[in-house]
Amino acid sequence: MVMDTMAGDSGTRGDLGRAVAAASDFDHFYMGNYRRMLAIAVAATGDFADAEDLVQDAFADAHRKWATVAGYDDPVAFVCRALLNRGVSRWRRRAREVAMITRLQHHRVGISTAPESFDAEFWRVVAALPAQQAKAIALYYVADLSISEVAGFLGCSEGATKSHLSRARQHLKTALTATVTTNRSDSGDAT
Amino acid sequence: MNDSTPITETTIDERARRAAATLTQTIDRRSIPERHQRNVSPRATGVFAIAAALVIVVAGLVTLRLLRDQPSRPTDNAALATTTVTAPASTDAIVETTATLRWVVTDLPVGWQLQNAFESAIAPTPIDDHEWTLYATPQAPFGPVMMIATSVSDPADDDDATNVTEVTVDGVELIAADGPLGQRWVYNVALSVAVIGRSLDDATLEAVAVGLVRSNDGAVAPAAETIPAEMTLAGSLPSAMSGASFDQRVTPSATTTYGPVDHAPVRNEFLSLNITPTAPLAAAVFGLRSEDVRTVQSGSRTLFIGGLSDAYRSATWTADGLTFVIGAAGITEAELIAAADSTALVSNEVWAAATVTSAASGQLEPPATLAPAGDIVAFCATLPSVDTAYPESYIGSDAHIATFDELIDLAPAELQDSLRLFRTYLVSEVAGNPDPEANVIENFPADVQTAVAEIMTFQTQRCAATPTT
Repeated sequence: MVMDTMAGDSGTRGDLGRAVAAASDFDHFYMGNYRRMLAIAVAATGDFADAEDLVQDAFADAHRKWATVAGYDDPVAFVCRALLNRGVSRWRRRAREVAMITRLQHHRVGISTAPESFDAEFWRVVAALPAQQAKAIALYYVADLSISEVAGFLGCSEGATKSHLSRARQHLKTALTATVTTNRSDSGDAT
Repeated sequence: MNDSTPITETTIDERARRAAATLTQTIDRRSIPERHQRNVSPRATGVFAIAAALVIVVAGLVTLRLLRDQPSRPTDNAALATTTVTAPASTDAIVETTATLRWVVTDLPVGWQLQNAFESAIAPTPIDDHEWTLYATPQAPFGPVMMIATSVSDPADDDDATNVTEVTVDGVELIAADGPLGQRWVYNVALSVAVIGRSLDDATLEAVAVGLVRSNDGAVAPAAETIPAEMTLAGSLPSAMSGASFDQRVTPSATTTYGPVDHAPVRNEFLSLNITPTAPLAAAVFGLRSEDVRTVQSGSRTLFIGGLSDAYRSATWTADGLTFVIGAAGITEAELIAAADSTALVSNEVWAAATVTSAASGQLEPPATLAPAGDIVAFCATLPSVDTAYPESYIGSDAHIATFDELIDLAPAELQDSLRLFRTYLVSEVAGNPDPEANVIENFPADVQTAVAEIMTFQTQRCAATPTT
């Protein structure tokens, strides 16, 4: 995920020039990476509104430290980490909320702010997974990272990452199978 | 859209890839909003790493040699009681003084041995915005202790937290939980800041958490009026990362770790001894980490000890300008005291003979009693790390099987059956299997998992002792 389009400072600008250049660099950085970060966030939260908030917070964090972050080999990775780390508590609370909604309103499918083509059911189940598993799914499938790269983001070994993914798939299989069964049962009741 | 494709007609892997593609396409059609300008808290990390603060635990197998019968020193705990102090202004100011820190435990539980030695002359570079501030009373480590930890995660995501509850106080969203060693934790959700206390009631901790203020530079501070009257600022621990653990040394330090000879990672049995020049925050940190702190007179030594069971015990004392801290699991209080009484300074020559020292750390040589010989060295060199990841195409390939055959040729008799069983399963069930779950060890049959575990155990216990070639 190396950001290779960032302009380097020429070293000849004045303070104002550097500030303007830095702002321009960051805007470019933001525009170029917003969608990818949003996809990762949606995958892990299951909710567009939450995800948009998380992405904005993560980029705001990067902006606040841009003088340092811009010098990193991979500034996008910084934003992604900020996104993943900041999201933990919110994802977990969201998951609890989603679980409650699921219990009380299992007929309702989809999340309010999601576009129609958004596979909300799948990502809602992902969001209900333990945080490390949800992150692993988001990074592996949506960010299309390798096991090694996912392990780097999660701060664990590749073996542990595989374990997170495996458990996540098992949970997903169980949960989605149950959902399909419930949907069929609901359809039967309605007809 | 509800993807109602029956789960039996596809795999979760395919479903995930399709959902990811749909999600990406959906987002690509959305416009990019203007960037918000807001002040935010920095990254979050687990907080109960404080339980491991000031202790570096490293893995491996080493031996205890020539370390017994060294003289012990008397205790001077007056320095430990110091509370109103300030951490070093800059880690650059820390100088190398590790020679006086090379103490070891010589009286260990039966069957235990020294496993590792680690020393550091300099503190690591702290992470931005990670600064954990401690408040204590002049009686520390007794009495109430409180730590304000910035940039930490929700207790709900910490496996060590229990009794997690969410409350709103004065409009501020808080999460409260019990910590692993009897601490109480109140977390300010908006600021990602935890207030962790011992011997403080929830109302006090909640008032501190609600009154926290983040300044424009990102620093978080409590409102002065919320700090209990008898408590004062003890100091701050800049936080750095050491591998996956926090490293909060602000002074040079030396750590040795100990465990059973037949150490198995799943068993919670260990002892670590950490020595630093008298650490100003030691009393507060010990008070926060330790349950039921009390003093024990043992010979000339007055020890502070903590812990209610074998699950975790700790001891600390000061002597000769040094602070000693022992943390241990799986030992009795008598064994803890015996270990503390037996600490002995080893000469530089003995230490040098027993360690391989890099710029900042050293690790003792492997024990001669466990050193493998002959073909085992070659076997260990051929055996890949358990964490090694391979492309799908490699699994079951000719090259992969050839490696297995080579391992079987080199393996000791005790591993032959396990390796052959693993090889057979690999060829028959894993190779060419399109299911991504097929090569995950957890999905193997029980007997194959047992075989893999035996190989991994051998690698951990025997190969770790293999001389580097």
